[in-house]
Amino acid sequence: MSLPPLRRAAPTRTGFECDPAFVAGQFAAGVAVLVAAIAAASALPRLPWRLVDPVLIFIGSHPVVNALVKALTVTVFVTVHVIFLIWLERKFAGWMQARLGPMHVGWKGALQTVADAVKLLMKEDIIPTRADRVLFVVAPFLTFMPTLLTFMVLPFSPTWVAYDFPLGILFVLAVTTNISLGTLAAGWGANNKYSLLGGARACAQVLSYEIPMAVAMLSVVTLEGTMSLTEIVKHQQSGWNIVAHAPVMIPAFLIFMVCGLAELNRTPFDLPEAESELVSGFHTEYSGMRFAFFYLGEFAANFFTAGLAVTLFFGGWMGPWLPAPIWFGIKTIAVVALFMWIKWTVPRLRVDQMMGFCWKFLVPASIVIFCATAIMVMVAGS
Amino acid sequence: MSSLTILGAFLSLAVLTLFPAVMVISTRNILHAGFWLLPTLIGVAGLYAMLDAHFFVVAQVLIYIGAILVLILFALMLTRDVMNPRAPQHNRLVTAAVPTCASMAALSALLLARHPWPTGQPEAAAGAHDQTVALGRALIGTYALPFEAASVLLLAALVGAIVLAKAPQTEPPSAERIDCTGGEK
Repeated sequence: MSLPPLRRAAPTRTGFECDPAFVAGQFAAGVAVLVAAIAAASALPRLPWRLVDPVLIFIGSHPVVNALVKALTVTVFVTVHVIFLIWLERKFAGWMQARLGPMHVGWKGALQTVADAVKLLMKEDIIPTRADRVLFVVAPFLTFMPTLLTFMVLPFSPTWVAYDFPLGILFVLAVTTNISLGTLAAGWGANNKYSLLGGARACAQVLSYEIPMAVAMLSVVTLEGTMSLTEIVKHQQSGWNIVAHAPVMIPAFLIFMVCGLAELNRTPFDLPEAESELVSGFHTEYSGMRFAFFYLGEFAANFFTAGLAVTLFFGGWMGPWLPAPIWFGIKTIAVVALFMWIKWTVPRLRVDQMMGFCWKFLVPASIVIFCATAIMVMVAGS
Repeated sequence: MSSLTILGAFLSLAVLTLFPAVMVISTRNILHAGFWLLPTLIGVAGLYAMLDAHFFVVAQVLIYIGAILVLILFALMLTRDVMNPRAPQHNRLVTAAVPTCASMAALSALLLARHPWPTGQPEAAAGAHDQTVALGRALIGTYALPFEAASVLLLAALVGAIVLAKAPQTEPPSAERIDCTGGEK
């Protein structure tokens, strides 16, 4: 008896072969999108903004209306930009793994996330029988709310900031720690051992990495002498922090990035939802819209951490030719892409490695950098 | 802002602080009691905000919610034995605790009643930046010694916690599963 000879599968087109025409087409499309975006951006100041002035004056003169409009704007932005970020993440993952990513819904799969959001909205709302119902229901909102609040102080331009809080950095630190309350509630509420372990890990991780992150941010505060995020950007007029004060700011930025990854629960720090050991950690039991809230919070935090890095180290909204918010967006998306690059390159750490790395290396290193910055400022001041 | 807006803000913050505070001591599920602390502490932060104490708003959220509340919940989750909703809610020390609390309450009430509350238009508070600078100077200048003493106290607590955690366990922790619905349906 003889087996039929092995036959190679017919070569399929993945788009990653070196087909010059294909690559040229992709490049041309990219350039066209970029040119269109820049044209649209430069047309923005020429629009008849005067027509909306009365509305703006009305909003500006009523504190309560003002606050509501700002809160609504921030909420809408946070919800909508995540749709784009999730699409970008999938495309990026596809690119890193030599596949195409979503391609079918909309142009290059651009509407895939919208379709997914609709699907999540329509799914059955499942609460496990023995779950702690109240905590289970509240947890997704507890996780999402702090992230939403942080966007209130993120300066997109000198004027595009919902609330220019003079203690902006402290506010950010205070609010982001509260995410761990939501993960604890989710981990406990589901009454599932994987959830509980994931929740406990997430909480321990966020609390530990908060410390070196805060000290790294404190170095920037010492350098600039202010905690206001807009002031910090304005002080970088003569040069980005990471260039102008490179000896201390490059290590500070590296510590900030590592801690940021840990706070975002992204690989290599995705231990709270490690699929291979914990199913999916604290949101194992969640589905439908509640699950979507966790996802929303996670991706929004991604954009926020990138935006904070840009504000602290890369001159925020500053840049030539283009309007300030566009520059802020470009830089932030670049840092988000860096997060994605790391996520799809590096494997996961073990729990003991994660804790040891934070307490034995990052905390002392951040304190050394903080002292170095303080000495530098004192020497420059005298 | 008009005085009506301020009154409305104050009343809603007071409700936000007091209602969950009552829930904290009345709920049977000790973990729920921990989570009820969250709105109470946020309400206190809001009251600080109404007093233009910017730094305290953020410090309240950072320390009380971000650190202390999270640690309380963490500790509760690790010691599941105390979470049995059928356990009695008062302990053996109730006879000593009631007079202590009553005398504390009476003393506080006396102090509050004697305090000359300023009425009329208060002068504008300093900006958040100036307030923070002044507080920082006070903490490492005038009040450096009490500040450091507090640090030593916290350090002692930390060392004590490590010693307790390192102590050999006499009996293994019970793995009995507890119904965390709190007995309510």
